[in-house]
Amino acid sequence: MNKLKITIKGVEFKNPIVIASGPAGFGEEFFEYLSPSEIGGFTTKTVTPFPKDGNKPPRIVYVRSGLLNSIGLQNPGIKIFESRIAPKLPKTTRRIISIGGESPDDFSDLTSRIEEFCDMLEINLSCPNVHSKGVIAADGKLSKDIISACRERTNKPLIVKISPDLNVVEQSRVAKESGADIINVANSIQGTRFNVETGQPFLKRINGGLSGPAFMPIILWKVYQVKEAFPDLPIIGLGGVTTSRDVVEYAIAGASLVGVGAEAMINPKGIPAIVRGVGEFLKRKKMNFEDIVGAAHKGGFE
Amino acid sequence: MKDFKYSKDGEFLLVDVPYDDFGSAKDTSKIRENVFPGQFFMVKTPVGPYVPRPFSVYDLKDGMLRFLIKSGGEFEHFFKNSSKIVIDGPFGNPMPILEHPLLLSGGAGYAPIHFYAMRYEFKEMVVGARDEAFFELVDVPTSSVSTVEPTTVLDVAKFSPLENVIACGPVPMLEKTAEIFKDRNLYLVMEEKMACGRGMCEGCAIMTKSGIKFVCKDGPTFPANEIMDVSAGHSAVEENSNEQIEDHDQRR
Repeated sequence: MNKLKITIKGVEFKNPIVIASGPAGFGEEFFEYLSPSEIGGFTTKTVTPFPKDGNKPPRIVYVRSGLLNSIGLQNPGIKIFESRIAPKLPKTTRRIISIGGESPDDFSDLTSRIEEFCDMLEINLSCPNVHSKGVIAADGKLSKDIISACRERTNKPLIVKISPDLNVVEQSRVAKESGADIINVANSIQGTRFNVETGQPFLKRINGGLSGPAFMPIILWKVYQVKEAFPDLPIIGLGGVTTSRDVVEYAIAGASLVGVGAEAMINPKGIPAIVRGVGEFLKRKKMNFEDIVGAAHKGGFE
Repeated sequence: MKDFKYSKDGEFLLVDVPYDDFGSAKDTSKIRENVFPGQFFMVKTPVGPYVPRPFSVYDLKDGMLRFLIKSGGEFEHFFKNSSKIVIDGPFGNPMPILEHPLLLSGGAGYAPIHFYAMRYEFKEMVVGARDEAFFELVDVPTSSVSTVEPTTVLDVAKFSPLENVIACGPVPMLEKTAEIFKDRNLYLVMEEKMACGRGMCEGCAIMTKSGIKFVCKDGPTFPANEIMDVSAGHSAVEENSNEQIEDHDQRR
């Protein structure tokens, strides 16, 4: 029996490792380094109604144990995505398509057009690098309208990706009440760095999203908080995973699926070893992955 | 396993890393065919940095890859504390093979230029550095010209009549090169901060006349007349300044 298997809202994942939206693009280059059948799920880069050039360079700053990025949702837009990219997404892994936009109409239109190509949809309400007024998730009413509009258009499971810069329990409540099935905790956290020689920011857009192991404890705590508030709401824990031990920690905090972002980007060939490591852990502990989800809320392993 | 040598002033280092990716070739002398001038590897040690750093290949000989690295960055900090180097690559496109090109380099920008000149036996080259210590570290063919500050590469190169030119070096040098040789067939080897090195993350964007391109996947060598703003890479390349200060604090 496959100890790694987990079923969320009727969708079976062969293991809980899900590649996060962004770092692996649409998979074209990524799947040169590993087979899609080795990972539980793959999330596409966020697709928007129109093509987006992304932000002006520089877009990346290295920081200790992480990196700051300011890509700005560069993508070819829904038209090219639905005709050339979506039909080719590998079916040997669970396909999650991430969508982004401005209005409820943007999101509901995208939902209708892509739902046939995916196993789950991810509504990105929290990209730190696009809206000048801040992330959509900061506006509870707009978030609610967007999620409800998507809910009307599909029966497939809806994931809502929230921001770690705002109250995660409140965002999760809005998402749940608006019809979301799963919460992705979370997008990258906002940060910046300045060049001490010039007195200017390194990133053209000043701020960017921090990812990498530097911020894993912060997200782990947020996953714990959401699980504590909504024990029945499945969570994708996402932030700073580099080892199988990290995956287990996220499950303990309450994540049913565990996202891998930056690590998938810098070492795609290393992902299967992370999956294997989780399997070995479960074997040693004589448990299934489903048994360890939320263990911290039940006083640890029995 | 690693082997390395610093320049006398400590500003640069040459690092040797065994390269045993034979591909399908059984004969080790064929290895050279797998790696081309202009290509780069993502380099780190088992203890860091978290994001591997892209370094252009300086040379590949007898199964040994050589990199020319400017000191003061985070990579060097980890390099000093680890006996092992981890490489991933090669990535990026080879430099175009031009007829009788003039090759220009400044500082660590000599790495791809050196490999290019060695591989194809090109001889017209002007190599610039801040001081003589650089030239005691690297090997420069006797047929080429070396310059040290205050003389710059372009003080010499501007007199060359050659039509084909390739340059790699600091951003101000590339900006000036683009200006002086705007009517020639000029290629620039560009630098930008990278995360994946393989065209997925879209971090190393560069604005070109045919839209956004990526230094890792579409470059790193671009026709100069395609690049919209050579200076855009300024702040990315200068990031080392913060790392240098942090390193200084630790030494005290």
